[in-house]
Amino acid sequence: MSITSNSVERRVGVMRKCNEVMELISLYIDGVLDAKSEAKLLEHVKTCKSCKQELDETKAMVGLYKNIEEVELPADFKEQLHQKLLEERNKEISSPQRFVLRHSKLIKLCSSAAAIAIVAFAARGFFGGFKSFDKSELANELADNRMMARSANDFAGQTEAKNGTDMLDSYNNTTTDAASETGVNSIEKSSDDEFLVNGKEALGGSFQHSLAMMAMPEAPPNRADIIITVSEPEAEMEKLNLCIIELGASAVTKGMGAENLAEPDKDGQNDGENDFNNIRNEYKVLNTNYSKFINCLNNNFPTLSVTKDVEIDSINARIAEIEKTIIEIDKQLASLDFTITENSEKSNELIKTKEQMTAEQERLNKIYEYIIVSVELKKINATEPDK
Amino acid sequence: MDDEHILLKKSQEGDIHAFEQLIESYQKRVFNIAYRIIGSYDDANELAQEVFIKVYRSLSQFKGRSSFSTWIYSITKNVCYDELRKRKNKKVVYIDEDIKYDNNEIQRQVEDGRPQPDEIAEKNEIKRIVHEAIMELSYEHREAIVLRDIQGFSYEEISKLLKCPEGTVKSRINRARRSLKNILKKNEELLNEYYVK
Repeated sequence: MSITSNSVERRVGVMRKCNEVMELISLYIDGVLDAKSEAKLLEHVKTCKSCKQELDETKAMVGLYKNIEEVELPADFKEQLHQKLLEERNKEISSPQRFVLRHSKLIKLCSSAAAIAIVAFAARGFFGGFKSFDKSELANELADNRMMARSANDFAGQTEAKNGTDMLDSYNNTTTDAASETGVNSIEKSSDDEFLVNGKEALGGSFQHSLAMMAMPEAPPNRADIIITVSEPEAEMEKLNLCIIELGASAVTKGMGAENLAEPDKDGQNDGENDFNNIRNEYKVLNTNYSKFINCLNNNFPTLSVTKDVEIDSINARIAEIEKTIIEIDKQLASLDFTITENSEKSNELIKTKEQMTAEQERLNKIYEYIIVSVELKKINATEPDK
Repeated sequence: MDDEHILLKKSQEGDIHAFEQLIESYQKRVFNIAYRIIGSYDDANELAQEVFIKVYRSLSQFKGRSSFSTWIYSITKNVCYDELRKRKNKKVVYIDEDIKYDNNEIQRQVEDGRPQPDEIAEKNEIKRIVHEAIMELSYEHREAIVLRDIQGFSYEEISKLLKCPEGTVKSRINRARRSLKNILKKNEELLNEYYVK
């Protein structure tokens, strides 16, 4: 069968029209088609069967969605979220470094055109000024606990009673925060008092040292925030990824993944530039890889001076010290002569102390198993300055 | 200053109660977006929680350039996308170990990463079919269908959420509907009954 050039042209014309109409179908169904295009579509479907079918089917399908009701929230959704929010707030209290950073080093380092890093430190003095709610109540409550003050004074040796109170308040305070963070129950206050007093009597020097270490006033954060100000955040992502790749997927888990927290413009004019003004990634870095990760960042961002704001070495030293003490307790337990009545009581005390130590060790291991490193790539002058 | 602004300000100061009030009206929608994109009720729960924690954590970054709702839904979309990407990556590792799948590796990766529908939540047959069909769509198309057809966002709103021009949104929705229609054709008989009604 021969096809004339006229009929070919006609067919091509129809097909072109069909393609155009296909593009308009959804807009027509949604009622956002302009009058001219709508007239064109309606005119076309009068004569074109396939487009008419396409229109009808799409319309019917969109109607199907009406069958889809919204699913209800799980019954405990709000409660779960509430708990998580409390944990989140506690984390903020125990690591208020973000604020410190943005106000000190940011300003100082902003003159560097290539890259500026700001690393925050948890400042002990900051706890007092930081707006806290339950925390201050808890601190007051603890300050009234005379037994605590006495024990603190006892084992802290040369520390004055008042300072001892502060130290222990802070310790217990942060213990509570950290415990709720990790879901580990904090040691009850009353038994803690007993434990500290008895513990000191039961054991020698090294144990006292460990207690003093455990009672360090700061609860070092397990989270580091790093802000890198660059001219092309998206391009710099590659450098950041190098560090991730270097440590391997098992070593660094991307916690939240690439996230774009930039707000869409009000006018909807998103030219793409805004998408990459503020890229923040959170990484769960294994305790043992944290130093390596920070070194890698420093190597890949030459003008960046990132310091380890999570004092991983001292934290690990503290965990090791507790481990040593537990071994010491075990030794003492093994050497006790149980034919002496007094030793039975002493043994109970030692076992109790060991349990407390083990709990503390587990707690620290859990908190510091991973260091959460938040790396934010910020475009220079892209956003308004922080308050 | 309207209620939302007052609650927002209090939330930015760390007031959890204010924050919970602030997000009250967004919870169900965020949950539903996550559910339709991810396909599983339990996972949607996790993701929706993650969205609100992320919103809470990032409150200081919200400067009011967009509406609060647009910002929340934009974060929802990011969290869902990230989850699907993570799942896909996990499967890549698995498939790399399995030589048998070499020939259609890409196809497998997509399929294996695809969330399964939660049958408990979807009792009705039509609902189930539509839900499953949506799950078969590519992420881009699924997102378009969920935002436009299930959640009823306008083209303009979707453009803001996805940060892409309205023209792109229009053609994406059109293409997504055509893909979905093709997938649904597998269940033509059942759906024809519905169409006739």
